[in-house]
Amino acid sequence: MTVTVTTDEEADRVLALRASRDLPLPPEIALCPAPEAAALHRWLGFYEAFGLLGHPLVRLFAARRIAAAEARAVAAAPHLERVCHLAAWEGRDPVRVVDLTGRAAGTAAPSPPSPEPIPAISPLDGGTAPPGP
Amino acid sequence: MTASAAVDYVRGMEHGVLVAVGSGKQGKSCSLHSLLALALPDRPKYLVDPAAYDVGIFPGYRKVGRAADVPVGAVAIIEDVNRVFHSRGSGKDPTLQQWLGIISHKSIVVAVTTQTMADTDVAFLRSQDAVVLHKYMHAEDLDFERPEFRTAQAVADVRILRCAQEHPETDRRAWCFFPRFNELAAIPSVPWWTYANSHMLREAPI
Repeated sequence: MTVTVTTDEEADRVLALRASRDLPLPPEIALCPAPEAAALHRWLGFYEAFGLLGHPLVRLFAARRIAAAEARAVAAAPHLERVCHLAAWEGRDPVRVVDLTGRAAGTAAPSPPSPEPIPAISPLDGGTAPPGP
Repeated sequence: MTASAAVDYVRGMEHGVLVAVGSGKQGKSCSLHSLLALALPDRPKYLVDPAAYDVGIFPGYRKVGRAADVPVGAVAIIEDVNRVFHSRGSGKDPTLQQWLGIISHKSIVVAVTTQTMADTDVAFLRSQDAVVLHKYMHAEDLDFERPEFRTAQAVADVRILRCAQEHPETDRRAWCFFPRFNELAAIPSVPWWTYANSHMLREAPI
Protein backbone atom coordinates (compact mmCIF):
# COMPACT_ATOMS: atom_id res chain seq x y z
CA MET A 1 0.00 0.00 0.00
CA THR A 2 1.38 3.41 -0.95
CA VAL A 3 0.60 6.42 1.16
CA THR A 4 1.24 9.86 -0.29
CA VAL A 5 1.18 12.77 2.13
CA THR A 6 1.08 16.35 0.90
CA THR A 7 0.99 18.86 3.72
CA ASP A 8 2.93 21.79 5.03
CA GLU A 9 4.83 21.70 8.28
CA GLU A 10 2.06 23.28 10.31
CA ALA A 11 -0.66 20.91 9.15
CA ASP A 12 1.85 18.11 9.62
CA ARG A 13 2.32 18.95 13.26
CA VAL A 14 -1.42 19.20 13.76
CA LEU A 15 -2.01 15.82 12.18
CA ALA A 16 0.79 14.22 14.17
CA LEU A 17 -0.72 15.48 17.39
CA ARG A 18 -4.09 14.10 16.47
CA ALA A 19 -2.80 10.86 15.04
CA SER A 20 -0.83 10.24 18.19
CA ARG A 21 -4.13 9.78 19.98
CA ASP A 22 -4.89 6.74 17.87
CA LEU A 23 -1.89 4.91 19.24
CA PRO A 24 -2.27 3.29 22.67
CA LEU A 25 0.28 5.60 24.24
CA PRO A 26 -0.29 7.78 27.28
CA PRO A 27 -0.66 11.49 26.48
CA GLU A 28 2.48 12.31 28.47
CA ILE A 29 4.59 10.80 25.70
CA ALA A 30 2.78 12.62 22.94
CA LEU A 31 2.96 16.08 24.42
CA CYS A 32 5.95 16.51 26.73
CA PRO A 33 9.34 17.26 25.19
CA ALA A 34 11.70 14.26 25.29
CA PRO A 35 14.08 15.27 28.13
CA GLU A 36 11.19 16.11 30.43
CA ALA A 37 9.46 12.82 29.64
CA ALA A 38 12.72 10.94 30.37
CA ALA A 39 13.08 12.73 33.73
CA LEU A 40 9.47 11.99 34.59
CA HIS A 41 9.83 8.29 33.85
CA ARG A 42 13.09 8.13 35.77
CA TRP A 43 11.34 9.65 38.77
CA LEU A 44 8.43 7.23 38.40
CA GLY A 45 10.79 4.31 37.93
CA PHE A 46 12.16 4.84 41.45
CA TYR A 47 8.73 4.37 43.00
CA GLU A 48 7.81 1.59 40.58
CA ALA A 49 10.80 -0.41 41.82
CA PHE A 50 9.25 -0.35 45.30
CA GLY A 51 5.78 -1.14 43.93
CA LEU A 52 4.44 2.26 44.98
CA LEU A 53 3.10 3.46 41.63
CA GLY A 54 -0.50 3.17 42.80
CA HIS A 55 0.14 5.12 46.01
CA PRO A 56 -2.10 8.23 46.16
CA LEU A 57 0.79 10.56 47.07
CA VAL A 58 2.91 9.29 44.18
CA ARG A 59 -0.02 9.74 41.83
CA LEU A 60 -0.64 13.23 43.15
CA PHE A 61 2.94 14.36 42.64
CA ALA A 62 3.18 12.66 39.25
CA ALA A 63 0.02 14.45 38.12
CA ARG A 64 1.50 17.76 39.29
CA ARG A 65 4.73 17.14 37.39
CA ILE A 66 2.83 16.19 34.24
CA ALA A 67 0.61 19.26 34.48
CA ALA A 68 3.62 21.51 34.97
CA ALA A 69 5.45 19.96 32.01
CA GLU A 70 2.36 20.31 29.86
CA ALA A 71 1.94 23.95 30.89
CA ARG A 72 5.59 24.61 29.96
CA ALA A 73 5.14 22.93 26.58
CA VAL A 74 1.96 24.89 25.89
CA ALA A 75 3.48 28.23 26.98
CA ALA A 76 6.58 27.75 24.82
CA ALA A 77 4.70 26.87 21.64
CA PRO A 78 3.61 29.34 18.96
CA HIS A 79 -0.07 30.14 18.80
CA LEU A 80 -1.51 27.38 16.64
CA GLU A 81 0.53 24.71 18.36
CA ARG A 82 -0.60 26.07 21.69
CA VAL A 83 -4.21 25.61 20.72
CA CYS A 84 -3.50 22.10 19.44
CA HIS A 85 -1.61 21.13 22.58
CA LEU A 86 -4.49 22.27 24.73
CA ALA A 87 -7.04 20.58 22.50
CA ALA A 88 -5.13 17.32 22.52
CA TRP A 89 -4.67 17.51 26.27
CA GLU A 90 -8.29 18.35 27.04
CA GLY A 91 -10.11 16.29 24.46
CA ARG A 92 -9.25 12.66 24.90
CA ASP A 93 -12.37 11.16 23.38
CA PRO A 94 -12.04 9.77 19.86
CA VAL A 95 -14.03 10.91 16.84
CA ARG A 96 -17.33 9.04 16.58
CA VAL A 97 -18.08 7.64 13.13
CA VAL A 98 -21.75 7.21 12.19
CA ASP A 99 -22.92 5.91 8.82
CA LEU A 100 -26.53 7.01 8.38
CA THR A 101 -26.81 5.82 4.79
CA GLY A 102 -27.37 2.27 6.04
CA ARG A 103 -25.64 0.77 3.06
CA ALA A 104 -22.85 -0.77 5.12
CA ALA A 105 -25.11 -3.16 7.02
CA GLY A 106 -27.30 -3.72 3.97
CA THR A 107 -30.40 -2.70 5.95
CA ALA A 108 -32.28 0.54 6.44
CA ALA A 109 -31.15 0.78 10.08
CA PRO A 110 -28.07 2.94 10.73
CA SER A 111 -24.94 0.87 11.27
CA PRO A 112 -23.45 0.94 14.79
CA PRO A 113 -20.52 3.29 15.42
CA SER A 114 -16.99 1.91 15.12
CA PRO A 115 -15.59 0.26 18.26
CA GLU A 116 -13.63 2.32 20.78
CA PRO A 117 -9.87 2.28 20.33
CA ILE A 118 -7.68 0.44 22.82
CA PRO A 119 -7.55 2.51 26.03
CA ALA A 120 -4.10 3.92 26.75
CA ILE A 121 -2.11 2.25 29.51
CA SER A 122 -0.78 4.98 31.75
CA PRO A 123 2.17 4.20 34.06
CA LEU A 124 0.28 5.90 36.88
CA ASP A 125 -2.22 3.07 37.01
CA GLY A 126 0.43 0.63 38.20
CA GLY A 127 0.79 -1.01 34.80
CA THR A 128 -2.78 -2.30 34.51
CA ALA A 129 -5.18 -0.94 31.91
CA PRO A 130 -7.87 1.43 33.23
CA PRO A 131 -11.48 0.12 33.21
CA GLY A 132 -13.35 0.56 29.91
CA PRO A 133 -15.87 3.40 29.32
CA MET B 1 -33.04 9.92 18.44
CA THR B 2 -30.57 8.68 15.87
CA ALA B 3 -27.05 7.46 16.28
CA SER B 4 -25.78 10.89 15.28
CA ALA B 5 -25.60 13.64 17.90
CA ALA B 6 -25.10 16.27 15.22
CA VAL B 7 -28.29 15.37 13.33
CA ASP B 8 -30.22 15.33 16.60
CA TYR B 9 -28.94 18.76 17.46
CA VAL B 10 -29.88 20.20 14.06
CA ARG B 11 -33.30 18.58 14.44
CA GLY B 12 -33.78 20.56 17.64
CA MET B 13 -32.50 23.86 16.24
CA GLU B 14 -35.11 26.58 16.21
CA HIS B 15 -32.76 29.22 14.82
CA GLY B 16 -29.10 29.17 13.92
CA VAL B 17 -26.52 28.87 11.19
CA LEU B 18 -25.34 25.74 9.37
CA VAL B 19 -22.11 26.18 7.43
CA ALA B 20 -20.88 23.57 4.94
CA VAL B 21 -17.19 24.08 4.09
CA GLY B 22 -15.14 22.16 1.58
CA SER B 23 -13.39 22.39 -1.75
CA GLY B 24 -15.39 22.43 -4.95
CA LYS B 25 -17.48 19.42 -5.96
CA GLN B 26 -17.01 17.59 -2.67
CA GLY B 27 -20.72 17.21 -1.99
CA LYS B 28 -21.42 20.27 0.18
CA SER B 29 -24.79 21.19 -1.36
CA CYS B 30 -26.05 17.63 -1.57
CA SER B 31 -25.13 16.91 2.04
CA LEU B 32 -26.58 20.20 3.21
CA HIS B 33 -29.92 19.62 1.48
CA SER B 34 -29.93 16.01 2.65
CA LEU B 35 -29.25 17.08 6.23
CA LEU B 36 -32.11 19.57 6.03
CA ALA B 37 -34.43 16.90 4.64
CA LEU B 38 -33.37 14.53 7.41
CA ALA B 39 -33.44 16.95 10.33
CA LEU B 40 -35.83 19.77 9.36
CA PRO B 41 -38.29 18.18 6.93
CA ASP B 42 -41.35 20.21 7.97
CA ARG B 43 -39.98 23.71 7.63
CA PRO B 44 -40.39 25.72 4.41
CA LYS B 45 -37.12 26.09 2.54
CA TYR B 46 -36.09 29.20 0.64
CA LEU B 47 -33.11 29.60 -1.65
CA VAL B 48 -31.66 33.10 -1.28
CA ASP B 49 -29.98 33.91 -4.56
CA PRO B 50 -30.07 36.88 -6.95
CA ALA B 51 -29.03 34.65 -9.86
CA ALA B 52 -31.83 33.48 -12.13
CA TYR B 53 -32.14 29.70 -12.22
CA ASP B 54 -35.04 27.33 -12.18
CA VAL B 55 -36.00 26.51 -8.60
CA GLY B 56 -38.28 23.72 -9.85
CA ILE B 57 -35.34 21.29 -9.79
CA PHE B 58 -35.54 21.55 -5.99
CA PRO B 59 -38.94 20.04 -5.17
CA GLY B 60 -40.82 22.01 -2.54
CA TYR B 61 -38.32 24.86 -2.42
CA ARG B 62 -39.00 28.53 -3.09
CA LYS B 63 -36.63 31.24 -4.24
CA VAL B 64 -36.18 34.80 -3.02
CA GLY B 65 -33.82 37.47 -4.22
CA ARG B 66 -33.10 39.11 -0.87
CA ALA B 67 -32.47 37.69 2.58
CA ALA B 68 -35.05 40.06 4.07
CA ASP B 69 -37.82 38.30 2.11
CA VAL B 70 -37.40 35.00 3.95
CA PRO B 71 -40.50 34.52 6.14
CA VAL B 72 -40.72 33.51 9.79
CA GLY B 73 -39.86 29.93 10.66
CA ALA B 74 -38.25 29.12 7.34
CA VAL B 75 -34.87 27.71 6.40
CA ALA B 76 -32.81 30.11 4.27
CA ILE B 77 -30.28 28.34 2.04
CA ILE B 78 -27.50 30.40 0.50
CA GLU B 79 -25.35 28.55 -2.01
CA ASP B 80 -21.80 29.87 -2.31
CA VAL B 81 -22.31 32.58 0.23
CA ASN B 82 -19.48 34.87 -0.88
CA ARG B 83 -21.27 35.28 -4.18
CA VAL B 84 -24.37 36.60 -2.41
CA PHE B 85 -22.74 38.35 0.57
CA HIS B 86 -19.32 39.88 -0.02
CA SER B 87 -16.75 38.55 2.42
CA ARG B 88 -15.94 41.97 3.88
CA GLY B 89 -19.39 43.38 3.29
CA SER B 90 -20.58 43.39 6.89
CA GLY B 91 -17.99 46.03 7.71
CA LYS B 92 -19.25 48.38 5.02
CA ASP B 93 -22.94 47.61 4.85
CA PRO B 94 -25.11 46.87 7.89
CA THR B 95 -27.66 44.73 6.02
CA LEU B 96 -26.20 41.35 6.87
CA GLN B 97 -25.61 42.16 10.52
CA GLN B 98 -29.13 43.55 10.85
CA TRP B 99 -30.60 40.44 9.32
CA LEU B 100 -28.50 38.03 11.37
CA GLY B 101 -29.42 39.96 14.49
CA ILE B 102 -33.09 39.10 14.06
CA ILE B 103 -32.96 35.51 12.76
CA SER B 104 -33.34 34.31 16.33
CA HIS B 105 -36.54 36.34 16.65
CA LYS B 106 -37.79 35.06 13.30
CA SER B 107 -36.79 31.43 14.02
CA ILE B 108 -34.87 31.20 10.78
CA VAL B 109 -32.17 28.60 10.22
CA VAL B 110 -29.59 29.87 7.76
CA ALA B 111 -27.82 27.12 5.80
CA VAL B 112 -24.73 28.29 3.96
CA THR B 113 -22.31 26.68 1.51
CA THR B 114 -18.79 27.96 1.02
CA GLN B 115 -15.48 26.75 -0.39
CA THR B 116 -13.34 28.20 2.38
CA MET B 117 -13.99 30.15 5.58
CA ALA B 118 -11.25 32.59 4.59
CA ASP B 119 -13.45 34.26 2.00
CA THR B 120 -16.66 33.99 3.99
CA ASP B 121 -18.08 36.80 6.07
CA VAL B 122 -17.41 35.87 9.69
CA ALA B 123 -20.57 37.75 10.73
CA PHE B 124 -22.37 34.46 10.03
CA LEU B 125 -20.59 32.84 12.93
CA ARG B 126 -20.32 35.66 15.45
CA SER B 127 -22.75 35.20 18.33
CA GLN B 128 -24.81 32.65 16.43
CA ASP B 129 -25.69 29.07 17.17
CA ALA B 130 -23.39 27.84 14.40
CA VAL B 131 -22.91 24.22 13.36
CA VAL B 132 -20.03 23.85 10.92
CA LEU B 133 -19.77 20.75 8.78
CA HIS B 134 -16.51 20.06 7.02
CA LYS B 135 -16.08 18.27 3.71
CA TYR B 136 -12.80 17.34 2.09
CA MET B 137 -10.58 20.34 1.36
CA HIS B 138 -7.53 20.17 -0.88
CA ALA B 139 -4.14 20.90 0.67
CA GLU B 140 -3.65 24.07 -1.38
CA ASP B 141 -6.87 25.54 0.01
CA LEU B 142 -6.04 24.33 3.51
CA ASP B 143 -2.94 26.54 3.52
CA PHE B 144 -5.09 29.63 3.07
CA GLU B 145 -7.79 28.65 5.52
CA ARG B 146 -8.35 30.65 8.68
CA PRO B 147 -6.29 29.24 11.58
CA GLU B 148 -9.30 28.73 13.83
CA PHE B 149 -10.85 26.38 11.26
CA ARG B 150 -7.66 24.82 9.94
CA THR B 151 -7.25 22.23 12.67
CA ALA B 152 -10.75 20.88 12.34
CA GLN B 153 -10.47 20.90 8.56
CA ALA B 154 -7.19 18.98 8.65
CA VAL B 155 -8.75 16.42 10.97
CA ALA B 156 -11.77 16.21 8.68
CA ASP B 157 -9.53 15.54 5.67
CA VAL B 158 -7.70 12.72 7.39
CA ARG B 159 -10.85 11.17 8.81
CA ILE B 160 -12.85 11.42 5.58
CA LEU B 161 -10.13 9.71 3.58
CA ARG B 162 -9.82 6.98 6.16
CA CYS B 163 -13.57 6.44 6.38
CA ALA B 164 -13.83 6.32 2.61
CA GLN B 165 -11.33 3.48 2.63
CA GLU B 166 -13.03 1.65 5.49
CA HIS B 167 -16.52 2.01 4.01
CA PRO B 168 -16.08 1.46 0.29
CA GLU B 169 -19.80 1.17 -0.43
CA THR B 170 -20.46 4.72 0.84
CA ASP B 171 -19.67 7.62 -1.45
CA ARG B 172 -16.71 9.66 -0.22
CA ARG B 173 -18.71 12.83 -0.74
CA ALA B 174 -21.35 11.71 1.75
CA TRP B 175 -19.04 11.98 4.77
CA CYS B 176 -19.22 15.16 6.88
CA PHE B 177 -17.17 16.07 9.90
CA PHE B 178 -18.86 18.04 12.69
CA PRO B 179 -16.07 19.43 14.92
CA ARG B 180 -18.57 20.71 17.45
CA PHE B 181 -19.80 17.17 18.10
CA ASN B 182 -16.49 15.44 17.28
CA GLU B 183 -18.41 13.25 14.87
CA LEU B 184 -18.06 12.01 11.32
CA ALA B 185 -21.43 11.19 9.76
CA ALA B 186 -22.33 9.89 6.30
CA ILE B 187 -25.58 11.61 5.39
CA PRO B 188 -27.84 9.74 2.95
CA SER B 189 -28.49 11.90 -0.11
CA VAL B 190 -32.04 12.92 -0.98
CA PRO B 191 -33.57 10.80 -3.75
CA TRP B 192 -34.27 13.80 -6.02
CA TRP B 193 -30.66 14.94 -6.28
CA THR B 194 -29.44 14.90 -9.89
CA TYR B 195 -26.78 16.40 -12.09
CA ALA B 196 -28.97 19.48 -12.63
CA ASN B 197 -29.01 20.16 -8.88
CA SER B 198 -25.27 20.03 -8.47
CA HIS B 199 -24.79 22.13 -11.59
CA MET B 200 -27.66 24.53 -11.03
CA LEU B 201 -25.71 27.64 -12.03
CA ARG B 202 -24.61 26.15 -15.35
CA GLU B 203 -27.06 28.17 -17.45
CA ALA B 204 -27.58 31.08 -15.08
CA PRO B 205 -26.30 34.46 -16.32
CA ILE B 206 -23.84 36.17 -13.97
